[in-house]
Amino acid sequence: MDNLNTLTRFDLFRVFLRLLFMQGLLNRRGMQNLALANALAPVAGKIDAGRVKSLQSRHLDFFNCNPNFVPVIVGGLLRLEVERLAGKPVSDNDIQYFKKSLAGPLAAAGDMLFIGSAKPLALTCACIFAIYKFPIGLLAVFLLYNLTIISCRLWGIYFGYAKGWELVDFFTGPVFQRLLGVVHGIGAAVAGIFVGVVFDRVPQTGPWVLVMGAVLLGTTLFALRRNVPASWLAIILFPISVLLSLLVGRW
Amino acid sequence: MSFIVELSLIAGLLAIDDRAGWQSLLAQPVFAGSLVGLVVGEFQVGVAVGLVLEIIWLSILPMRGQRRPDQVAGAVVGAGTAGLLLRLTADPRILLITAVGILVGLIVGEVTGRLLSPFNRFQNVVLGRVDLRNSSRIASGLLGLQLASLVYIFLVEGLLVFTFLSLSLNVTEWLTGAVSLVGSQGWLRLLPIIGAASLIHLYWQHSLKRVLVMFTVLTVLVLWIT
Repeated sequence: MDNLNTLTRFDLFRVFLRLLFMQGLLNRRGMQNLALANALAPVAGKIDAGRVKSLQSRHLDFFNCNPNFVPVIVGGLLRLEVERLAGKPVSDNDIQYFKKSLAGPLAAAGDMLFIGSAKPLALTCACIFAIYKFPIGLLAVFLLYNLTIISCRLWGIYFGYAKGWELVDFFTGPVFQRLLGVVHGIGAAVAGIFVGVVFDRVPQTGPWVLVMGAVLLGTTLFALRRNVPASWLAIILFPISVLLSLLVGRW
Repeated sequence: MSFIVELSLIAGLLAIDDRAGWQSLLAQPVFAGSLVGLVVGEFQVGVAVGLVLEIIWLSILPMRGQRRPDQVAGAVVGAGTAGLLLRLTADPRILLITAVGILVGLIVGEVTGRLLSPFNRFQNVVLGRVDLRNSSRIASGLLGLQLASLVYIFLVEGLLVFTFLSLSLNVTEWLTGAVSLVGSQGWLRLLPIIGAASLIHLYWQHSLKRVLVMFTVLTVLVLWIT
C-alpha cells in the first residue's frame, strides 16, 4: 500500500478546494468534464510522470454527477491512477468504466439525498424558525447544513481515495438506501410540523380566511399536480385578494 | 443609489454561490432576504419577505429540466424594495409595504428566471466549444475559464438586480398608493397555505404521507393545547 503515499492528504485537499466552484464550468456538451479536469490540476504533476497524454486531457470526456458526490468519484479515480503509476494493470478504459459506472447511480442518489431531502429539510426548518422570529435558529440551520455538505465533500474525496474499486459495492449496498430512507422520513416529519404550524395559524385570522384557505389549499394541490408553479398562483391571488377586500370590505 | 449598487453586488455574489458554488443556502430567499434586511437596516421586513418567497418556492427543486424562478433576484429585489421603501419614506404601513415587496419579489423572480435563460445558454455554448485536448497550457486555460465564468455570473445577476431594483422602487411607490391595506393583509394571510400545499405535494408519496399527516396532526394538537 506504499504506492498510496504518492498523493498526500494536502494534495487531495487542494483537489477538494477546486471542486467547490465546479458548477461554474458546467456545459451541455461535456457537462462537468472541464470542472473535473480543472480539479485534477494540483495533482497532475505527480501522476503525469512519463506519460504521453496528461492526466487532465485524459479526463476531458463527458462526465456528469451530483456535485456533492463528485469528490467521491474523483478520490476513487485518483486511487486508480496512483495504482497504475505503481505498476498495477489499470488501463484508461478501466478508469473510464469506473467513472461511468459510478457517475450515473451517484447522480440519481445525490439528487434524491441532497436536493430532494436534505435541502428541503434544512429550508423547512429555517422557515419554521423564521415564522417564530428566531434568528439564532436560522443561523444554526445555515451553519449545520454547510457543515454537513462541506464535510461530506471532504470525507468523499478521502473515502474515494481509500476505497478505489470498492466504492461500487458501498454505494450499491443497503446502508446507503437506509440512509436515504431516514433522511426522507425526517424531511416528511419536519414538513408535517410546518404544515401544522400553518394550519394552526389560519383559524386565528377569521372565518373568511378559513374558508378562502380551504379553497386555496384544494386549488393549489390541484394546480401543482398539473405542474402549474405555486408562484403563479400567489401572483394571481394578489388582485383577487384586493378585489375581494373591495367587495367584502374586510378579511 | 448606493444601496442599489450594494444590493446588486450582494446579488452577484449570491448568484455565484447558487450557480457555481456549493449552494450554501445563502442564496435561498429566506437567507438572502434576511441578509438584505440586515444591509438595509430593516431586518424583520427582510426576513418576512424572504420567508414568504421561500415558502412559495420551496417545492421547486433544482433538478434536471425543471424551470426555476431566479430566487436570488426575487429575494434581493423583493426584500430590497420593501426595506428601502420603509427606510426612505418612513411609511408606517409596514404590512402593506411588506406585501408589495413580496409581490415584486415573486414577479421579478419569474421574469429574471426567463431572462437568464439566454445568458445561461450563451455560457453553455461557449464552454461547450472549448477544446483543450491538444493545448499545452491546459491547467491555466481551465483556471482562466473558471474565473471568467464566475465573473460572468456575477455581472449578469448584478446588472439584472440593479435594473429591476431601480425600476421596482418607482413602481412600488405608485402601487402602495393604489392598493388597499385590507386586500394585501388578506393576501399575506393566505400565502402560507400555498407553501403548505407545496410541501404536502412534495412529500405525498406512498410511505412518507403517513409521517407527514401524523406530524401535522401532532403539531396542531400540541399548539392548540399550549
